[in-house]
Amino acid sequence: MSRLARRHLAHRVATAACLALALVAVFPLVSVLWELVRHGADVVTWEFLTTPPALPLEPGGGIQHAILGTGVVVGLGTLMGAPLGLLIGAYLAESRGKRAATVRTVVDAMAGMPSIVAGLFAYAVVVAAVGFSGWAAASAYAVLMVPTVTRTTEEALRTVPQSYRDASLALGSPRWRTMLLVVLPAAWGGVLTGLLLGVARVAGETAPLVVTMIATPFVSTDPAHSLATLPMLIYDYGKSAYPKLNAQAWGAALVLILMVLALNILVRGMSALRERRLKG
Amino acid sequence: MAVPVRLRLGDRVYSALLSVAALAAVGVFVSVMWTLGSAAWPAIRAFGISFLVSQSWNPGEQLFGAFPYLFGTIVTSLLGIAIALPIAVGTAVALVFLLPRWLATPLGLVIELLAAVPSIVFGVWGRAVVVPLVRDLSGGTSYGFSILAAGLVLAAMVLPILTTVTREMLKTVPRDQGDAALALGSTPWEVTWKVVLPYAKAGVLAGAILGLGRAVGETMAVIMVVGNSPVLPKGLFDPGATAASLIANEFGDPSGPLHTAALVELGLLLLVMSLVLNLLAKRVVRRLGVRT
Repeated sequence: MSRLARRHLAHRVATAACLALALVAVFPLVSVLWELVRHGADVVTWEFLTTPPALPLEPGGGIQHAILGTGVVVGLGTLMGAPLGLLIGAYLAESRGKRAATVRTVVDAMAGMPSIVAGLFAYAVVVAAVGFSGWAAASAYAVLMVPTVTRTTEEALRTVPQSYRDASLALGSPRWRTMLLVVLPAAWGGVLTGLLLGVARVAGETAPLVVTMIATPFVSTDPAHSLATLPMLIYDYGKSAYPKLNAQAWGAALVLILMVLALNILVRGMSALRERRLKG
Repeated sequence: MAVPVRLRLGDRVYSALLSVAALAAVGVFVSVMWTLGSAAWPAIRAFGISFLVSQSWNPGEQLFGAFPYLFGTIVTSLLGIAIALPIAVGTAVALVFLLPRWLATPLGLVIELLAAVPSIVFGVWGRAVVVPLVRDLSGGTSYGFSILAAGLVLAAMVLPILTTVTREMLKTVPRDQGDAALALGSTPWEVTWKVVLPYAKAGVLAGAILGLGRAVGETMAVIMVVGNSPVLPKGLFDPGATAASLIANEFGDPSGPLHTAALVELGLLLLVMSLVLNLLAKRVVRRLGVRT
């Protein structure tokens, strides 16, 4: 074979290899979704979503307690973490200099914090004070959510043209009104996207829950005690010896992933829409 | 200045509020370090450096040496990156240079959505798909719950970040670099391999370091496939455990305060590892920024 032919063959082989690797890269998501639907689709019924759990050997029973608990923990975590993230994001968008750079570095470092570490932090601070509870789990979620919300808020606020601010300030409006009535309304789509992204970031987190709450089969929305949650239920049921619970773990995992993927797709759709409008 | 006092007050409150929030960010971070450090202190004082090198984790005798778990964390994470890196680079090349746009866009989306899959779901999936696969690969000598299974699941989890970073790096390579090589008679693959990838090397490295930072802290997916064995694994098909999986396994039912402190110390080590890796990745990116 001539040298040239060999080089062209190498090109063809390498191209085929890259395409094959791209197929391999698609495999995990396809396989995850396929397995979830295969094992979980029959389990997920209206009754499954809306009834409390039954004993492992009795038929039926659902995951109402876990859905409610996840709602409470994610909701409280968002109430704690989102305002902080919004304010820090506004700070970063409004200020320059060394201090802002430090804050940005810290936020980046927090974004890389393992979620189990956030759980340990909540354990040491909140569990030590009020015991294993929804409050503790929600604080861990809040810590995890802050970097995501901060970063997206900063980016969204920075996309607002400086001329908007200048016009508002020149008309005599103070900075806080400029932010509240001019900059924020112009960027609200991006800010909302950041909030949703923050919720999606934490909604499936399990590790922080394992060290801040104790698994419970009871239906409750009281964050002063341990609550059942979807991720923890999937973990417990998934390694259980009861076939019914294994099946329900698949169902719960399907519910969880549909929630998280829906949030992500919503976020992407909103970003795409905004980009198109900006390009006009 | 004839600015009304009422407005000036509003602005003062506004900027104070923002500064307090910024301070709170720093405060939360410092208090995470401080809290974990002081909660781990009894273990740090009791075991010192032997915590890192001793192999006996024995709650019964209140002796805690974490070497097998730290080893498990490092080996499974490196394994995950090693598996994911070639796939990510090949995929990124395909997405940027080979596939038509109508195919590349949805494909990129599918890979990015993989990043949204919660780790517990990866765990359930790993138990059902990856563990049996490893069992078959071992020819029945392993149950499948193993270091290799953890590495494979971690590879799937870090694949999105590796692919995305590599893809972005490939896009920054100036077109004329490749065009020049093409004009000199290179095949398109030679352009990719000898011109584009070397140009993007630092970025790919940064992506790999970032992925490593994610992998070391990964807990729930690993815990469900790694086997949770306290014995130092001798091969890829042996079960093992990682620092994060040990924390999640033992934290709810500690044998005493020293046990809890030892688990928190592991968490502190994980935090330090992920911080160092993040900073390192940032430095690599910055050096790249200077060069381009």
